[in-house]
Amino acid sequence: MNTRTGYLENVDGSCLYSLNSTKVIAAVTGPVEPKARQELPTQLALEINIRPACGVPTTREVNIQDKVRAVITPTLALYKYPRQLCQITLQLLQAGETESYFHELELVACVNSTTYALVDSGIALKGIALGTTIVITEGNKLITEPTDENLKNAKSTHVVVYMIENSKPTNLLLMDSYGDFDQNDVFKVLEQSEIKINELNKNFREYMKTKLNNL
Amino acid sequence: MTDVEESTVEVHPVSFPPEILARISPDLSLQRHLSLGFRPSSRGFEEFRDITINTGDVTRRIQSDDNSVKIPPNNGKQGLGSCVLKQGDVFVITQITGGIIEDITLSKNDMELEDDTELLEITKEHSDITKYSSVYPVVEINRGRMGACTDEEMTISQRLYDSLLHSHILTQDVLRVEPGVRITNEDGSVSIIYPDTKENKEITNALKPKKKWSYVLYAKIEVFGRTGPVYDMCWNSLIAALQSVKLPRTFIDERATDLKMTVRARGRNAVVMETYNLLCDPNESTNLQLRENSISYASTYGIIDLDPEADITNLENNDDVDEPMDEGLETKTVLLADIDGEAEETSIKSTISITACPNGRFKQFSVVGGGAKITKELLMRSITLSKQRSRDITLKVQTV
Repeated sequence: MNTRTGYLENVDGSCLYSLNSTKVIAAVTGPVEPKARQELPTQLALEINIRPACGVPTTREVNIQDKVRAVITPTLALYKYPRQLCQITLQLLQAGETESYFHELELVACVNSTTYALVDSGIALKGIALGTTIVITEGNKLITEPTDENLKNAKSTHVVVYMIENSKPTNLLLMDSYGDFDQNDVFKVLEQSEIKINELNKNFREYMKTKLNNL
Repeated sequence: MTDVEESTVEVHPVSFPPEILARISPDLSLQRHLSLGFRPSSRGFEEFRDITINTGDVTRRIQSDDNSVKIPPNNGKQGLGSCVLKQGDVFVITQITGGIIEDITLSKNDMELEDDTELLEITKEHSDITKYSSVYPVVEINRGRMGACTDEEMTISQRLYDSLLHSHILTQDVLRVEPGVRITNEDGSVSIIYPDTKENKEITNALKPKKKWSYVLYAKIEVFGRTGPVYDMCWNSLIAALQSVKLPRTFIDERATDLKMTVRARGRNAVVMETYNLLCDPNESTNLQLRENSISYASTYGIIDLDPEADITNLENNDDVDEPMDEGLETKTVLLADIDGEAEETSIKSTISITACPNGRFKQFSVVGGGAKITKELLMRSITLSKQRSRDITLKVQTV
């Protein structure tokens, strides 16, 4: 995993994120004044735009946006910014997966890069969201951070995102699974992903520490 | 002292009838209901809405004299399968339509499997996603106004497409078109030969065009009277409709099987074009072969923390006492099956959606945890309920 915050100059927070061959730029602008129809009287409004690596946004991107929104909304301190707007734009540079079949790697890249960009922007957060992709192979083996080839031959694919508060994974924010699996698989995936996300969280804190020290 | 008394105004608590409270403060209204042990719809916590399923009714088939079901002559673009599903007050109407496209992207797999259907049987259980297919669903939620599709409609359509593809219910193989040949016999009569028997297969193979076609299926899903989240209803309706799909058989006239034409474009290049006139048989159709053990049905659950302060029984007990509410009161988390109604939809932030086969395997599993904490026990409970629900719906679809 490779991250670089402050990648863009004209936004409040940004991050260039890459994992294997998935690459995305996240940009956060906010809190800013919303359009009249977006304004919420008591809390921060959230606008998320996802641009695919190739072509124009379709229903596929709307679906990813919907999931990113579900994950990011609970991490923001929404009531601190009434009548304001936070705009998150995600530009995929490389999908890293066959787009007609999968969206898992891009979804995780979008979530993780948004978290880095949000911290970079300085918007108040209640916690951070970090996620990972896991596939279960034909031979019932779990593979974290799979490649496109792994995804294609997997029996089931899973995206898991946890909320991290006080540097511990506390709440399951998202689990999105497709394929053929049973309840044991679900719990195995949750267990494995918690370990992975703990590791991601360690990297995250390490990164932010060096960043603050270099200020 | 008298001053104080004069300036004291007696405050009457404002009270609203339940239906008005539900509009102004859906959150409080829901909590009050839950504290009494039932939901605003007066269902129990783990009670589903009743579901009625009818398949094939909207499809344009006519009953002929010999009682066999036939597709009317002007078919081809008309509905191939359909389902009308009613859950609570919501109607979902699904119509399956189809088309035929030319397969120009023949992969190596197809070439190899050409004459080797046995090999295909062996590899049938293989999970390689490129062997499977999906339908193209368009979801329309009718709200009595026109306009561009909403994000919800787009998200549900995309989720249906993804779930269907990854549930491996449709193989590309069953959608392949096996055209028959229309032959004019010596006595001038016309007959259509389909590659069903070995003998016929030889004839059609001899006249077989080099091109390949496959069916492509579309689903138009219309939702009427939406009262809450509708993904599970759309999925159940789509799966029921797919089971009623009959694909029309197609044929080619023997004279057209290998027809080549020279086309002159702007007088410069002469290109040889092959044209085939693929026709749909008005009387013959085959059932769409779904992979039976992949048929699954969806259900939705919500998880919410009970707010002890909204508990009506507590309110009555502590009428005049101004005790700190938090003391001794535990927050309980409950699972609600089949979320419905405005109050439940807006107040419940943690949801679980499970697509399960009756045998207990899952095809899609999605958890969104923005609100109440989702514990292992709650997950287990929803899993158990989803399997039961899936078995119930299977029975309903089978009895249609």
